[in-house]
Amino acid sequence: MTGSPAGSANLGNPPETAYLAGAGISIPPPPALPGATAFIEALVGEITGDPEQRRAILDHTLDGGSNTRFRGDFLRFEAVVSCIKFAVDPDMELLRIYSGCGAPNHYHHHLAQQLGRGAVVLTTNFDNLIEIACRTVGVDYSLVVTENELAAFCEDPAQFKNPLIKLHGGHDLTYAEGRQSPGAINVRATLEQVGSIYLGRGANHLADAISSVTGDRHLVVMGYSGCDDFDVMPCIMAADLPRGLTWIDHDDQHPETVKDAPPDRSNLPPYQLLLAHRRKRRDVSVVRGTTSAALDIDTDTDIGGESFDWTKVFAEWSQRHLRSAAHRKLLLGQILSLVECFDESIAILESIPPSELSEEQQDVLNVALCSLYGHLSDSSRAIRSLSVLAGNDREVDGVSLKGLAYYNLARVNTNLDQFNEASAYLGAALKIFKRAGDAGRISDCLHEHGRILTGAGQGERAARSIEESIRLCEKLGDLHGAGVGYGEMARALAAEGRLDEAETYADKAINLFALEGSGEGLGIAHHTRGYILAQRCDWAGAAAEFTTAIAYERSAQAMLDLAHSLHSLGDMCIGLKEFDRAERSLEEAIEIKHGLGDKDGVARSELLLRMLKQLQALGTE
Amino acid sequence: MFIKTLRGLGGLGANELEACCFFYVGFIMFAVGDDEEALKMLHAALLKTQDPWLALAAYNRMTLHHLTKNECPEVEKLADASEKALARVPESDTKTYYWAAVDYNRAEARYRRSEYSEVLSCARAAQGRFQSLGMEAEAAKSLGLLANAQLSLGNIEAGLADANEAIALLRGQGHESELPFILQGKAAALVQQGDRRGATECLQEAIAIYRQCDNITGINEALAAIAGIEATDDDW
Repeated sequence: MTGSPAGSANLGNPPETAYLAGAGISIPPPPALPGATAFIEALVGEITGDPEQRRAILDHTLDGGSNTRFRGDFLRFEAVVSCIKFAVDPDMELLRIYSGCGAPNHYHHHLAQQLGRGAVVLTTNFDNLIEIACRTVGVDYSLVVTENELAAFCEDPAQFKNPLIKLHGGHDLTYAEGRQSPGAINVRATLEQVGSIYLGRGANHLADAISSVTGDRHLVVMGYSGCDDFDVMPCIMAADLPRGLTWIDHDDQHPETVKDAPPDRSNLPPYQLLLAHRRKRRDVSVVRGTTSAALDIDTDTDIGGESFDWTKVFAEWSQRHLRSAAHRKLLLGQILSLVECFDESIAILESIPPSELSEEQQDVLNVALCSLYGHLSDSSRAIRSLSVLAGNDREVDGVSLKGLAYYNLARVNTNLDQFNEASAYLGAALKIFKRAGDAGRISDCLHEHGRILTGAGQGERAARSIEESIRLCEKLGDLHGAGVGYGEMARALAAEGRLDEAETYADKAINLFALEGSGEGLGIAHHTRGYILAQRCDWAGAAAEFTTAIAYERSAQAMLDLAHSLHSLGDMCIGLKEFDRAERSLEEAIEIKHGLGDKDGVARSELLLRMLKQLQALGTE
Repeated sequence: MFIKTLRGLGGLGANELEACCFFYVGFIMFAVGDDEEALKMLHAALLKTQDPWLALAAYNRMTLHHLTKNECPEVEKLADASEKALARVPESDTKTYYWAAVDYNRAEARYRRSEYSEVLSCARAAQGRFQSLGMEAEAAKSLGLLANAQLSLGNIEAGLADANEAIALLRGQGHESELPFILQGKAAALVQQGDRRGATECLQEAIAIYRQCDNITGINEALAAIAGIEATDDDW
């Protein structure tokens, strides 16, 4: 790495500059607001005292123990916010931790002043500190947040004086003229919301706004880690950036412009962007060092403002929304399911006495259990529990519990190759969801129908059904559904011998699951890729893919899938004449299948093992 | 019946006693879940014995095993063998019982192979024989099998009448665990007649009974049938 000094002189003048500010700028006091990891740590501390459960969750955070960034087991802030919204805080009052802070720091003041001098400011923050700083220094501003405002801004940016674009919205929006817009309606923080931007085929006003700003301005990125892979980061990656970009990778050192990505940081967003745009010969640079020094911001003078203690606001929120053990368990169970501790998640949720929850929260509990039972390796337990939930006629946020139970029963039966039962359940579920106009669940059913058709050897019909499901998922921003659909499409196409198309879909599935953070999904997608490579007679490539699948499936405790991947790896190793490895794989596959009561699967693996033994005997002779 | 059979073996020679031991061990092996060893023991008993009663008891137990495993051709073979053994024993209630059991097992095996027209005479014979012995529950169960075969053959009216009679008899005798099979057959017939609500009620009752004995396969089949009705139902 070679470096050169950097300073504000390199970063252009305000009328030609746009700033993108992230959570990092609100961490220095007086606001001292929490970043994503600090927030998740505090939340986990509130909902469980069990060290094992805490470790299971915190190891998956961005700064967690296993350095899992860009791998499938990364716990996303957006996913945690989705859980909170669904389980305990539908109005997302939690974000008042951010919007309740009224004491901006030097960075907010600097941005306010730059706005006043003609810059544009984009921010992913939920706090209102730049707005407050604007009022303090007497700078007028135009808030650009809603879809309508974003669209109007893209059409004619000039009509917005000193535009402050809040990319993820906010809970308590405060417009310059004093108008306030409180509530969750203007927040874009959940996985579903950012997913719809990532996958959306319609107008993407956020991308248009970023592109419109960067079209004639140099973009300076500060305090932003770039980890919102679904919306802002992809927009920046895709933007043309004709006026260039400077990303300040905040570090406690004198700033210097980095020419090459340091080996230990090459996976981080600024350097990925640097490498990607260098190939396109664009003016992108990364300045590594203190943000204040890089931007020539004087942080020594006292700007006043009482220090903000967000933990007090958090404690008040917790008093209201996590007031009993039942509420804490409801949230904990769901967050554990995000890190794929399905059995533990079910045990916690099942231990909640329903009488301690409101009627709405009982519904939330049942919906969560319904989805989790579909993941159980023990199909008898899954059927027993789901059959009880199928008798519940309530609807939760427009989702029929009965329909959801039928859908998951269909999944369990498909896994058991009981296609008649699966079809019956699916037909009923589809009818219920169609009646409710629940497009997300309709898409799930179409996808499951594709699985059944694939299982029944009707590849072409399967592909049509899955394609329809994918279209709906993309429209709705259902990341997981789209990932599953891509994977299933790959399998259906591979079964038809259309291997090139199949491989493209498998790659798309891997990409999406990696972004979403689904180890189970990644396992299945890598298995699919292995299956395609095996069809190409690339045994070594296939074995490598099955090995990757096994690693994910082991981590996600997806035992049925794990057993399938071990069997397939054994098969490939026989082709590669790695007999010892094949034997180990097949024996483990048999052991797992025995445990799951998968008699047919045991028979298949035992047959392969017998063949292997015969081959070994021939080899010895 | 088992004790009676064993008592009947008293005073026999060494071979018969050895056969008796094999037979007894076979029963125990079934009880502890080692079916393979149990079958070996019963085969050994059959090789040693000349006693038709012991043979009948062995055939009967082996038939139960093969029915559980859905091995219908084996059931038919054992029924043929049982008939030969029955020809060698004098008339008695015990003989009538074994005849009834053979009839019933044959009927059930044929039902499972979807040979419905072949079920009718066997099921009727079993019902009559069980009835003559005062074994009302078994007679009602045979009637249920007959009803389901009729329904599968499209004899809906007769089938439903038999099914309702069998259900009433089994309920009256407190043999609810035998009901789901008949209720599921009745539900299928009611669907054909357009009575989806009635069919669903039958299936719900079947599920409730399956739940009591934690029969997951039964719960799954019956619930899938309800889902199938709901998937096509436009009247509710």
